[in-house]
Amino acid sequence: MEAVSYDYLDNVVNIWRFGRKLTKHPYLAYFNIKYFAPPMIKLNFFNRAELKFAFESIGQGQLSPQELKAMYYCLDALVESVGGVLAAARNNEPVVWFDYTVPSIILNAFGVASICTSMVSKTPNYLGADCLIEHFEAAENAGVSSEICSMTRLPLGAVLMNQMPKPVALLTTAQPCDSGRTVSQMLDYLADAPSFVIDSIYDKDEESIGHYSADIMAMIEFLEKILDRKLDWDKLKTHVEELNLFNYYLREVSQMHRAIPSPGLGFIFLESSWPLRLFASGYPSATKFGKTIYDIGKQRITKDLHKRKKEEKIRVMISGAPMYFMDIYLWMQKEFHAYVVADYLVQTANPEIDTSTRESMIRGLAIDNLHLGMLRQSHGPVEFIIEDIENLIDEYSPDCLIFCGNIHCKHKKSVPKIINDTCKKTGVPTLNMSLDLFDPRANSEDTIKKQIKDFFINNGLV
Amino acid sequence: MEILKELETIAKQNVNTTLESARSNGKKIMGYFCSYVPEEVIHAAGFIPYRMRAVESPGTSLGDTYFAPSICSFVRHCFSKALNGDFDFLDGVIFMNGCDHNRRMHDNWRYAKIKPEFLYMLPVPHVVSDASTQKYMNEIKKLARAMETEFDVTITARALEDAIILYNKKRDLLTRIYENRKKKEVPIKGSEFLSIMLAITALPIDIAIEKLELVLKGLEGRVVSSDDDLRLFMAAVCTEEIEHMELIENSGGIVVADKICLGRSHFHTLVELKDDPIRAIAKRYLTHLSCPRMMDDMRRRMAYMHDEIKEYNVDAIIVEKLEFCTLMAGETFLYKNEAGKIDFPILSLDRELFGGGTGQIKTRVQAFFEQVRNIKEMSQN
Repeated sequence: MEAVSYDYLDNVVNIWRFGRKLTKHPYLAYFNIKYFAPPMIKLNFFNRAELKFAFESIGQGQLSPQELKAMYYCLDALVESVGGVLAAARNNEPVVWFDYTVPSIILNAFGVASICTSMVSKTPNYLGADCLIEHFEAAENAGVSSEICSMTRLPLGAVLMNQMPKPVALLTTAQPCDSGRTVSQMLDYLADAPSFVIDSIYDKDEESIGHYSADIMAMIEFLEKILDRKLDWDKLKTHVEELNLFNYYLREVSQMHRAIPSPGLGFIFLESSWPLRLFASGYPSATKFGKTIYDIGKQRITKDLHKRKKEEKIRVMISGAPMYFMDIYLWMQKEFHAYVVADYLVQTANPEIDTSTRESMIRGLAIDNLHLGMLRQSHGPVEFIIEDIENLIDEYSPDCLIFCGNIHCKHKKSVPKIINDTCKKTGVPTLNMSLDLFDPRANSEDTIKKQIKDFFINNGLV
Repeated sequence: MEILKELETIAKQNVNTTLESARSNGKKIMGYFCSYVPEEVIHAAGFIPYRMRAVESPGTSLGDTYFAPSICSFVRHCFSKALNGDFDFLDGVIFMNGCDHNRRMHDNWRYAKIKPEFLYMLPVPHVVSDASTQKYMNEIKKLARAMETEFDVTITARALEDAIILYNKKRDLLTRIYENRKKKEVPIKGSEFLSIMLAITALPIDIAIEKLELVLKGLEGRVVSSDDDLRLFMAAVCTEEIEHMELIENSGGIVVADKICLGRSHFHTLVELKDDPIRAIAKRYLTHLSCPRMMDDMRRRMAYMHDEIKEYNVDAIIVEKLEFCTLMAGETFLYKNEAGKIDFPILSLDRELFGGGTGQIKTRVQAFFEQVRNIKEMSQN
């Protein structure tokens, strides 16, 4: 049989594996990174983009040994999840594609290898900007319009380059946006496999939640038919309990950032919890990651208060950071003592899921799903966006707001006046950028840095 | 044909004299967006349904303060008109979640606190299933209740059934007119058909039916095509400019089939009145020739394109996308791939609604037609 090659995903998993090996002994890793970082930067990582990005993804030597320990668990969960899918694909086992908006924990309970298509909006970063551009160009050369949100265009590029294992089924939802709806159909067309769509809901009332839950149930029936196996409800319960724990820790860490000074876990917490939620929902290693950063956070807001007070000069609320500029948080910390205390998209407020019955579990998963960034704000009227912004400002006391503003996001581009007026009313200085959060061709790191620096200076924050 | 001229005049107006006189006689008018808002329910509540449009727009400058330039020009035109008071003659507007651009108009309209006061969002499912039909039925009932409460009217089952009969009649007449284009000698141009669609969606239904009957009668023995004309299938979403379609047709083609919001999508599939009228309406609106917003119907839309090519003896496809329309961007990709499978000529155009650029479009269309003619000639030889 011909060996199947998923070069890019293989390389990414290998980088994660290397990172996992490195961070297994966090203190040793800490000193190694500290020692090797300056010469590596000087040598420009031997011009190897993957080394540069791997270095950035483990915090550029700015993370403490405890944070590196958390990073170990994060990488372990990612290797287990994505590495497992690639292994399954090579063994000719069925693989299911799902969009990030689908409660993937159900797939884990089915015991089927599943891959999040939206994952490709993040993974090429680990291989450098050229890899990202290659994905975009593959899509554009095939006639995909560049007006479609770049986050959703990346998976199309991966599929067109045959970098995704062939699926037996596709799962998606009809929210949060036109780009998602459009690309799901395009992926469906290209994959030519049976698909299931969870319908959108506009409101948050009981009827809407009921409709959403019923669709999740229907998705389970669909999977039972396609996979020719029954859902293991006990296994689902175990996974959901794990997810509850993960959510608990992340919720707590989110809340800790209300404190002044905050525990300053912006980079590791906000950057890592998103991929974990998408690719490794319900994995024990993901929970261990949550527990580790929870412990760090607790220590910092109690015992290290004095040190933190000296460290945190500016509290930043951000909305969506550019993926190709992974160290934006670390750069702001290092240069301006500016700490991200809240992220409009990644914030965790997912409530606990009631596991007492099958129905309550599915209902809980529906609600959990609707708390995902983008879905939470965009599935209904503009009030959902405004309430989120106002609540975060109220609760996290930021000194400034940085809206990176994905240029292709039709939701935000449809209500810029309402958002601007809201921000003005709060009196918090706001930087509105118009970046492409996923396509490095549109903006350079230098431009972004300059805009942020000027904003801090002009508003007297530094 | 006189009736077509009359309808063209109406099509190019924001408000026509029939609507004005109906209004002065106490009749209420309800604006609505998109082909997923059930006209029957609006009619049964005693309103004249008025399809929202960008025609006679003063430009997008007013709307541009509320929407970024990367938002569809149809939405920016309509909102500019609203800010300009051009829709003040309406008693209400019903929005739906057709696309992100359009549904955010509901947010901006409320925020700007402009007329009319009754602004309603009708969330329509994105999939077809028993559950979504039930959900849509509930939403229709909520809409009906909202109109009943706001305007002190009652929507009875009988009124809904009567409305279904009337609107089905309109659909039937439009289908018969549309199917006339199968003929080798085509009796009606695509631009004329667009005029009809724009006009009848701004007229009371009884008058619209009268006009359609006259059109159908007038088509007997009429020929507007020449032997050299290329027979075109046109796919688009918001298309309102009659001149734009004339430009295409005057370049040597004739639109014989379409998949346009104000085209086949509007009257495809009748309401099958068997039991509960609301269920029947919900079923029809969810299962009619779908918009790219419907996520589980893509293969049926592509099959429709193939069927139309055969049935209407189509020579080439023109697929149009308004700039920044994500839904149509995806659909264009699918159309191109499907056309590629059968080696069928296809031209995709990107443009702004009422955005000019006619010279450029003309050149592209002419070049495309020349290419198609060459291919035809080569295959004949």
